[in-house]
Amino acid sequence: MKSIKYIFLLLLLPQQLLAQSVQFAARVSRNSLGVDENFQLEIATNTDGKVTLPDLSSFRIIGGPNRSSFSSTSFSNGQRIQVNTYSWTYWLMPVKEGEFTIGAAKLIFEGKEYTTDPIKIKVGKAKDPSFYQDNSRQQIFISLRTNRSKVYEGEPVVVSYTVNNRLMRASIEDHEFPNQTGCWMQIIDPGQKGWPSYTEKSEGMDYQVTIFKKEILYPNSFGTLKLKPYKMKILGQDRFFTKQFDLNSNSASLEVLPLPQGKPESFSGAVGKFKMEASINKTELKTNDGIDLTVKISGNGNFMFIDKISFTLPSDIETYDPEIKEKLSYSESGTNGSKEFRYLLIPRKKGKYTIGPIRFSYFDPEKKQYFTLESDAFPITVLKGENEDQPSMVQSSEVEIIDQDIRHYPSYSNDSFQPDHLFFGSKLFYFLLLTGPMAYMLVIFIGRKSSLSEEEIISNKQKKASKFAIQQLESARKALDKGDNSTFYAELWKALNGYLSNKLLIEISGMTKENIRSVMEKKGAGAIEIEAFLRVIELCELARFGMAQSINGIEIYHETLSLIDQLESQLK
Amino acid sequence: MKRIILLLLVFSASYCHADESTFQQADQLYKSQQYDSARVLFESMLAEDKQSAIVFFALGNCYYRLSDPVTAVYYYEKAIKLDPNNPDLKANIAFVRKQFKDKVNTDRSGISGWVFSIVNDNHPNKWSGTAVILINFAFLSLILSRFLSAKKSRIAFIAGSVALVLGISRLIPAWYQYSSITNHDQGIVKTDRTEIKSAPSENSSTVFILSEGTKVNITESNEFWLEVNIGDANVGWIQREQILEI
Repeated sequence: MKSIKYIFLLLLLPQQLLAQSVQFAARVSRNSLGVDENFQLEIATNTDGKVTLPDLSSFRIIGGPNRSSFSSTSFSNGQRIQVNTYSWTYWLMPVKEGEFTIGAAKLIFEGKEYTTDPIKIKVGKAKDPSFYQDNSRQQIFISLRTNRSKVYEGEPVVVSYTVNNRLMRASIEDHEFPNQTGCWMQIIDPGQKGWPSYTEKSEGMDYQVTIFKKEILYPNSFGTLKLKPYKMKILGQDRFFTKQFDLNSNSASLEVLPLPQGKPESFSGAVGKFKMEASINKTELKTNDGIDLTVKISGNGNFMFIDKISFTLPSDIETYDPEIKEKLSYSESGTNGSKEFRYLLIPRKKGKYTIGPIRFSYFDPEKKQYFTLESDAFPITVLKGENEDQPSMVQSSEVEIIDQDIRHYPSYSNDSFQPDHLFFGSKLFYFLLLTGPMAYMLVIFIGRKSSLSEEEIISNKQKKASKFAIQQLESARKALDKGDNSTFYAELWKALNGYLSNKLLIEISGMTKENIRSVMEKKGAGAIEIEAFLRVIELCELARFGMAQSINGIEIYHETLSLIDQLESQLK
Repeated sequence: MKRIILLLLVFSASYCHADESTFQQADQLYKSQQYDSARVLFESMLAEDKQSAIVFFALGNCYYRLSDPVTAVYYYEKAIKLDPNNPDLKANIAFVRKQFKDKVNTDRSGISGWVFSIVNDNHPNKWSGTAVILINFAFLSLILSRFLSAKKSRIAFIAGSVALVLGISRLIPAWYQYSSITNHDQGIVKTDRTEIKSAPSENSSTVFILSEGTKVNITESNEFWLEVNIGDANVGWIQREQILEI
């Protein structure tokens, strides 16, 4: 550019030298050009007069005016000539096709007005066809795009961050991405080649679209999800200049639909298409040994929201938080891969248990319905281990207590819980309560009654004393009739002795005569009867020893009979 | 005496033997989730003012399944009066009670709470059963003491007296539980935002407001009104129809 200027100025020189007059001229670098091209306009003078620059409204000024001065000194015929040249340079661009005239520039120097000749510029078709488009449009912009605007909770959305430009060159100096809320995001790996760039028409103009990055987004609640704009600083170069662009992208919003009603019990937020495999590593073990339950969920969907598999276990089997292995890849089709949950189960008591079936439910957004996957049930046998009686390793506070439902009532046959009346207050209660005291009172009553009858027995004995004695005498008489004297006297003695014993309630055998006499006197027996009684007793005793043969037996029998009769009336 | 003890055992074993087949039938209905039919059947077992902890328990579960937590708690409370130490019942009461807004503690505390817990530590029939056995044993010993020789008689007499004292002392908690079961001394508030009045009349001022499911102690009653408290100094009158008397 500079070189052109010098040549131009040099061309002016001879005239200056010749005329030494005022020089004022305008010239352009080309008269004919395409609408997408630019040209240079230079206005130069050798004076320092006041220059009014021409009207350039039919062109776009893309540079200038640059003012420059140039001074040259030459010697001619011994005379020093100094020439000062002043120039104004514009870089201009046509606005549209056609013929345009650059108006005259004016110079006022020493009271005289000078003008330049108008210059005609012919603007032809653009060399570059893209130039027909509106030049005033933005040369570069960034945008945030989503591949869909309406999704279910947990359904993936691809978010693209693009730079759209029609600059000759652009480089990203800086960028700032906000934290999006209400969703879960993961960058998609574009692979080695990166995202391909492509051309896209925007409002009638072609833009080169470069994808800066793509992310996969999973909204985690329903409603409207607003995606905040991001910022970039781009150093761009258009046809002539390098310029920094501070750009803000658009924001975007997504309509997130809630999942439909009718969620299965085992549903915990999985959306997509899944398969499930469940397995255990052994079927027989000892108490307090571990068993691995592995549940593998594979397919396409929001794996990040699946953080556990819920299943119920028999209460004697403990479990812990699972070990989770993920093999996931993120692509524009969503998240693919598998997530494996390995649960350690520890049976604490021996027995046969069944684990599972394990259920996993998901929502298929394409079919718009829920599906439940169910595994087999796994029967296991737990044998008694060595350490069974040791306390469980887990503190009760660490065990998660899931108190989700009421407890079932016990079975009817449960002994401790038989349906029952209240015993207290029932007839049986009062009956049994009174049994003891009643029995006690009964015993006391009967006891009293039986002690009364003893007296009766005694009085009966007294009453029947003479009867017994007479019976005894009868058998004595029979012995006498047979001529058995010794038996007669023995029976006679028994009759008298028994009579007195029964009548007076004393045992008289072994008593002395004096004792018998005093006892009988007390009881009111007459003296004659007492003497007679004692005499018969003596006689009997003598006869028993064989010393009374001469005595008339029958006489004594009668005497005794009348004696008992008399004593009966006398003794009380 | 032996015969009496035997009689007692036989009676208590076959005592109030609620129709087992009815229970099984209702149980089947419950298990097939026909809770309302199960409820009707269980309730039929309670006709004639029968008391059965297990049937009350089952009814509580039925009402819970039928989304009526208030009646469920009512039956659980009835059941726990008969079987005060049942852990399942305690758990269910606590579980269902979580749904209720009012968190008042109507249970007795302090010394009376301690006494109450001792009393309720045993099944009512246990108190009355042991009382009857001890009293019968006491009189048996006293009877025997009359017939035994002097030394043995004294031992039997002392044993009998001790048993008599123990037996009579057991009648007190038995009577206490019996009266608490038969007297309806507690209740469950049936309706939400029930106004407790300062006096037994519609026009009197409202003292406090209870929400459904709250357990109250009943201290006095007339035909239409009950005087209740909620364990503390808050006392007021509530209409009889607004409460389920336990």
